[in-house]
Amino acid sequence: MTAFLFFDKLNVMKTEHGDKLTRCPKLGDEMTFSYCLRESGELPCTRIINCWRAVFDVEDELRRILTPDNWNRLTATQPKDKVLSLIELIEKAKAKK
Amino acid sequence: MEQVKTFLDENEIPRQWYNVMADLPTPMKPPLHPGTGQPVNPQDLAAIFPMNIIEQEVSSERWIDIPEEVLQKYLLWRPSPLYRARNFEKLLDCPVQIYYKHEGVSPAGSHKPNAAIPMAYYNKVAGTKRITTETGAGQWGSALSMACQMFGLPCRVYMVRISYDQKPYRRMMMNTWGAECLASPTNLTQAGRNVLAEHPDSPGSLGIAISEAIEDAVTTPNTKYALGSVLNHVLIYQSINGLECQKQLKKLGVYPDVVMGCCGGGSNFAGLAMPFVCDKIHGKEVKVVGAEPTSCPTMTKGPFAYDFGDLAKTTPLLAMHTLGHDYIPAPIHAGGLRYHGMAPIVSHLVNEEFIEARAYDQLKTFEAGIKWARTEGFIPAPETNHVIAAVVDEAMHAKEEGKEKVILFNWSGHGLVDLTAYDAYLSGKLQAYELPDEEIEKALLAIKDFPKP
Repeated sequence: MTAFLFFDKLNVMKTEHGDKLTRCPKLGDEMTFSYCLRESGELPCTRIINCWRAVFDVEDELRRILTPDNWNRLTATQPKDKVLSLIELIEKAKAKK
Repeated sequence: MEQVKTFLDENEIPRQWYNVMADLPTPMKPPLHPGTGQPVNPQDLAAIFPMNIIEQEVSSERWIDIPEEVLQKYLLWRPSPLYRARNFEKLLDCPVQIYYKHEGVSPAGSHKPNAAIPMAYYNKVAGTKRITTETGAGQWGSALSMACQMFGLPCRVYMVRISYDQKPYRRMMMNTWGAECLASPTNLTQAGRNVLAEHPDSPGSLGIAISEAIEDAVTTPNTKYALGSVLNHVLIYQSINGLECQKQLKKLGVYPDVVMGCCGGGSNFAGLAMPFVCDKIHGKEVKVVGAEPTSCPTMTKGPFAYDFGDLAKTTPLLAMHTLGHDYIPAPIHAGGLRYHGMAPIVSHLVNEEFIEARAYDQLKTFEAGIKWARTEGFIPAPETNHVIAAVVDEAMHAKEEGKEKVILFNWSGHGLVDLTAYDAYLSGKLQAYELPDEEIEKALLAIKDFPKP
């Protein structure tokens, strides 16, 4: 139930698809569309369109509920090489030492 | 009685892992350090991995000796049996022999310990005192917890909170094996505290959990981090599976026409496939197929037709289930999301056309998994269902073509702690596909003039 409290507090624009369920290939678990919308904090998961396109017009829904800036940020997101992601996280962690 | 299982004796277990880097016909481009713009060097990863593992990560040696201590742990369940799926063959009624490598017999129930055990071992001999990692639903976290216990290393697992709450059984497995399993985000790391300050009820994400595990490793003395997929050393450790398979098939006097695995990060697929990719690179005729998840309804709605295999139309025309090569969401055009999170070696081999990637939507995969459970008995992990769907597809093609085929695939794990996923499928909670027919017709215009298979 934690997730639902989280989404209520975020005051996410209401979506009729929020409770729909799909299997998340990143987590290996079933997730709601609401979770996918906020998987990356302010932004949806980068896989959201791939995972939900067949279920409903997810692009249209995202354009409706995301700010234009967040829509552009989502669609401009490039997948990162894993090693580079690790190095970025190492550098961030070293800065916290 | 017809033979079902093929075993290897314990003394027949492979003594070396295979590293496909030695046989790549074209070299992979090294990743460039985001700060310096120079190729990443081993020292860049030294904060989170011990040097003996980093040496394997960058190794181009074809064969790497498996330490005796690792072999001894492998013997708890390895060599794993090779099965002939005779009941599933009968159900499909196609001209195929189907063999599967049963990786669900490991103590953690999946292929993951193949990599977790050497990681724990190499850390132990390198002087690491403690290991951190992240996990989603817990398959990797539980495997590493078991491996760390075997080598006396404390293990902390940052488990994505929403899965921590929804999937308690793997958390319990981690605790049983002596690991500390925490719901991420936590207040133990700056990364976690930042998230919690803004969203106290955050359900977490894999990205947050990775950040926490790495921060913990970097900022705590004698602590290292372990990753269960994607990286080269993981794929090397997993190769024991494919090497065993080759010995078992040799005993049967059989060589596969098609080798298949499900592809998430690439470790379970590569573990089975890479020794066969080696054969293919050296001239053997074998098709190697990775099955990945998608919600794009090509398999359920698309006809079997010739189409390009990529958006840029650079591949030869391939016979496939397709909704037309233009049927790809715009953001995927922009970001190339399809291979997000895939092992770079696997992606490279797909680009080089040694491996074929196919995508299957969730309903199709569960349908295949249910058929499997009702014939072969074993309940597959939901990820394993992807490759079973691919096997069904391949068998049907064999029937259509009137060709006999030997299919080998990796049965990567059991689904006994994933039964809520089956419940969601069986109760109709997983979403069905709703693309309108007119959109399909519009998409198929792109291939209307192509030859028909």
